[in-house]
Amino acid sequence: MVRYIIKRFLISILTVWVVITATFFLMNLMPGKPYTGEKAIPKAIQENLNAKYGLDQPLITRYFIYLKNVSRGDLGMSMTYKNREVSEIIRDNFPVSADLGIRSLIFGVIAGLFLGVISALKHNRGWDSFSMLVAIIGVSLPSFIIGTMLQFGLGLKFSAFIKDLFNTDFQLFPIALWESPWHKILPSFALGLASLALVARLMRTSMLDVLNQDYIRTAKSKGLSYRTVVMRHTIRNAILPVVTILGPLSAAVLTGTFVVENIFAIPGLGKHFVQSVGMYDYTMIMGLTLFYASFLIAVNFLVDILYGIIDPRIRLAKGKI
Amino acid sequence: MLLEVKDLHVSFHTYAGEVKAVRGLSYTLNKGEVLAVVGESGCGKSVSVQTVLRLIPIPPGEIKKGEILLNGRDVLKLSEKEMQKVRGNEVSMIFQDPMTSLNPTMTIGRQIAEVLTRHQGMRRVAAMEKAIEILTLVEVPNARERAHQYPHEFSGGMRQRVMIAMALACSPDLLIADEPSTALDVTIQAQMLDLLKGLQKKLQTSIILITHDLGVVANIAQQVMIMYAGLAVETGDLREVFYDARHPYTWGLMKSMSRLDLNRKRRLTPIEGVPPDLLNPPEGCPFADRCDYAMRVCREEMPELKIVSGNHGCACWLLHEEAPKVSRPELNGG
Amino acid sequence: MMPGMAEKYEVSADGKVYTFTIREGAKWSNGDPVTADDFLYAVQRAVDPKTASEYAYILYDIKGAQEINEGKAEMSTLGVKADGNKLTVTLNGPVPYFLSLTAFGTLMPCNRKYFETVGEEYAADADKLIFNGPWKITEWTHDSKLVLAKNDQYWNAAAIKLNTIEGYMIADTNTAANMFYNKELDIIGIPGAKRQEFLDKGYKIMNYSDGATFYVEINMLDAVVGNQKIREALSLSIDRAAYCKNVLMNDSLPALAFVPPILPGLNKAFRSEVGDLIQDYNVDEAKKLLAAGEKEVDKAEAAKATK
Repeated sequence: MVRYIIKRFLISILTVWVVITATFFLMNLMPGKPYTGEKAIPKAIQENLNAKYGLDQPLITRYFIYLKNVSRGDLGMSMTYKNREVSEIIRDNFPVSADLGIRSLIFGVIAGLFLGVISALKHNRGWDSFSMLVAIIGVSLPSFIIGTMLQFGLGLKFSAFIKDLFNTDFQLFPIALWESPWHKILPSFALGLASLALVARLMRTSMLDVLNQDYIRTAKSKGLSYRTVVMRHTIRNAILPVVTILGPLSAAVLTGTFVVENIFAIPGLGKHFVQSVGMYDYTMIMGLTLFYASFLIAVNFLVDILYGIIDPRIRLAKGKI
Repeated sequence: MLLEVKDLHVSFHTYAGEVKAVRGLSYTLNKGEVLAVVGESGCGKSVSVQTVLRLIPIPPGEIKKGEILLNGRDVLKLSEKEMQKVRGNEVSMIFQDPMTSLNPTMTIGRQIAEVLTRHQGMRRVAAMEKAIEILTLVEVPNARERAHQYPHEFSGGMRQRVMIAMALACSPDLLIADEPSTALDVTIQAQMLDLLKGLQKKLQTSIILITHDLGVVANIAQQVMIMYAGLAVETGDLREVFYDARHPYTWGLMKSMSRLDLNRKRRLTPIEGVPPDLLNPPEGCPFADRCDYAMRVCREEMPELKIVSGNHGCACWLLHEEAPKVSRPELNGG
Repeated sequence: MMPGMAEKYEVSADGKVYTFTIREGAKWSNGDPVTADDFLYAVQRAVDPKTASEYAYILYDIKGAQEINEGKAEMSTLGVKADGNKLTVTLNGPVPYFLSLTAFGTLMPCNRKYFETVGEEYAADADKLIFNGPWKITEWTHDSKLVLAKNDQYWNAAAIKLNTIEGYMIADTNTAANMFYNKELDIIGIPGAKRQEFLDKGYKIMNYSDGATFYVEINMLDAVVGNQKIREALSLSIDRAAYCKNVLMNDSLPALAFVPPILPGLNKAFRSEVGDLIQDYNVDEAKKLLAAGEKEVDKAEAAKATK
C-alpha cells in the first residue's frame, strides 16, 4: 500500500508537470498578451510592465522560471490584482467554493441516489417518470435559469409570503450573498440540481442493469426479502459507476462554478477561472490550472481508495498493483 | 409426492405480442427422486421450473393457468412473504452460469451464511461456521480460508460448488439445477455431476435437473421429461425413455447425442430446422415441421400425451392405432 | 473645483507651476498628518518604471515624468517638490485640465512610512490601507462586500452624515434587482432593459452620463471591410437612435462624434463647439458608398491578380 501511494504520488507529480507545460505553452499561443487591452498605453509603460512580470524574457526562459517558482510553492502575483498573490486568492476564495460545492454535492448525490434507486425499482411507473422528469430538468435547465427562478420564486415571493404569514422580518431564503447558513440553501440547491440529475440518471441505469444480473436472481432464489435484495445486493453493486464520477464531479463542483457564484454573488473561485483568461492574467491562469489539476488528482485518488473498499475486485491492497 | 405440476401455462408479454413459453405442462416428482428435464434452448424448460419458485419477472411474465403443488400446497397461491420462506429453504436453485450468479462484492461465506440467517434464524458467526462446513461438504479445499474470499478469486467450477453449497445450506426438499454444468469445462462438468449425484445420495434431496444434453441424464436421473415448444412430448422412467423412446423428437435428440461408449465412426446427426415461434404456436404438433414422419393430422391437431406403459407417456400421433407403424430408427449405430 | 486636502493653490502666470498648500490638520486614518511628501511619494511611485504603473502616462504632463518613466532620467529630475506643507508641481506646459487630474486616483497621496510597512501588498486588503478621505474601509471581502465607515480623522468629519455604508459586489443585475425589490439594497445600478420595469413600479431612476463612447472596431487589414468607402457605408447603415432607444434603453445618445458630450472644449462643451462629426443613419448614401467601395475592391483585386 505504501509503495502504491508513493508510486501514485510520483505519477501525480508527472501529471501536474504535463498539465503545467501544456497550459503554459497553450496560454502563450493565445492571441494577445497581458496589458494589451483595448486601451492603447504608451510603449514605455508596456515595457515597464513586461519587465516587472518577466514578460520580456524569451518564452522558454519564462517557462523554466515558472517551473522553478512553482517547485518552491510560489505561484506568483496576479497580473490583474497586482498586489495579491495567486495563492492568496485561491486561499481566500476556494473555501467558499468548497463550502458551496460540498453542500451541493451532498444534496445532489443523496437526492440523486434516492431518485435513481426509486425510479429503477418502480421502473416505468409514476415514480420513475417523476424522478426522470426531475433529472431531465436538472440536466437541461441551465443553472442561471434555475438560480434566477429560485431567487424570484423562493427568495422573493415565498419568503415574503412567510414574512406576512408569521409577521416577522426573517428572510427564509435570502436572495443572494454568502453569510448565514440560510444564504447557502438556494445556491446549494441550484448547483446541486445538475449533480442530482447526473447521479439519478446514472444510478437508475446502473440499478436496472444490476437488477437484471444473475446474482440478483440468485439472491431472490435464496428467499431473501425484497429489502435485503435491494439494499445488500443491488445498491452496493449499482453504486460503483456513481463512485467513479464522484472524482471529476467533486473537482468540478468544489473548485468553483462561475454561473451559480455569479448569480448568488458568492465570492468563490469560479469567476477567476473565467476572468483570468479574458484578462490574460497568466499567473492566475497557471495557478488555477495547477490547483484544479492537483485537486482532481487528489480527489481521484480518494475515489480509487473508496472504490476498492466497495468493490473487492479492484482492491488496492495486497501489493498487486 | 413432493411436487405435482398441473396444466401449467406461462406467457411473456413482449412488444411483439404474447410469447407462450409454457403451454400446458404437467408432471410429478417423488421425494428423493431425480427428474431430468431435457430440451433445446427456448423450449420452456427453465421457465417452467423457475415458475416453481416464482422467479420469473411479473410483468412481463404471467402465469396464466395451472397449479404447482409443493408438499400439497399450491405455491401459485402463496403470498410473496410466504414464497420467500419457500425459496432457498424448501426449494432452492442453482443456475447455469456460476461466473455471474454470485454477488461480486460479497464474500462467499457471507453469501452462504445469508441463507442460514434468513431461514434458520442463525446468528452471523454460527451461520459462518455452518457455511464453512457446507463448503467442505461440496469439496471446496481450504474452506475456512476460502469463505472469506470473493467470487472473483474462484474458478468457474469452484463457484458452481459454492452455488451448490448455498442451495443445500438449508437442506431443501427440492433442488432445481438449471443446466448446472453447461457453462463449465467438459472435465469440470463430469466432476460437478458426480458431486451432485453423491450429494443427492447422501442428503436424499429431490432434484430437477435441466439440461439440453441427454448424455448427462443417464448418469443421474430416474425420471426423464422431454420438452418441446413449451410442452412435454415424452415422459417416463429413465430406462423406458432411453430404451423405448417413442417420440421422433426424442429420437432426434438421441441421434445428436455424443457418447463415449459407442463407435466413434458414427456421425452425430443434428435435428434440421428450428423450433416454432411461440408468439404464434402451431395448432398441431409443434414438431411436425421438423419431423420425418409428419402426417396431415400432425399439423392440424396436437396429440394428447398417451400412456405407453407404466410411467411412460408420449404425445405423438404415431401412437394412434390408425397411424402407420413406424419402427424406431437405429440410434446406436451398431 | 473644490479644494480638499489642499487649503489653497496658486497657479503661475504662465500656467506651468502649481503650488498647493496642504491643509493644516489633515490626517490619515492612523493619525499621521497628511504632508506634501505623501503626494510627492505617490507621484514618484507612479512614474517609477519599477512600479510599472499602467496609469503613469496620466502624469506625463509633469516635467520629467515621461523621461523618468521611460528610464531615461533620474527621479531627482521630477518636477514635483515637497517642502513641509507646500507641494510644487512644474508642468511641461500649461495644462488647463490639470486641476481635474488631481482628483484622479493615481494622484492620490500615499503615506510613505505606512507604505514601507506593507510593501507590495499595499491596498490588497482592508488592513493594508490607510485613508485620508471621508471614509475608511473597515471590512473587505474580496469579490463580495465592502463596508465603509466614517473616518473620524477626516478634516471635515463633521460634514459626514452617514456612519457606515455597506456595498455588495453583485455581478448579476437580476439578482441585484430582486434584492432591491426585497429591500435588501438601497441603491442599485440597473441595466437598460430593466428601466421601464423600475419606472412602472414607481422607483426613481437617476441618470448620468459616464462619458463612454462605444464604437465598432473594424479590421483595417481586411481588403473588403478595410476599404474606406465600405467602412463609411457601414457607419451610415447603423440606425444609432433606434439602437439607443430599443436595444440599450438607457438614455444613451447616438454617438455622432468620438468625443462624448460631457467633455469640455475651449469655452463650453467640446461637442457644442464643433457639432456632429459623423454622418448619421442614411441608407441611400450607404448603398451608393457600398457600390463604389465594391468597385474599388474589385479593381484592386484585379490589379493584384494581373501582377
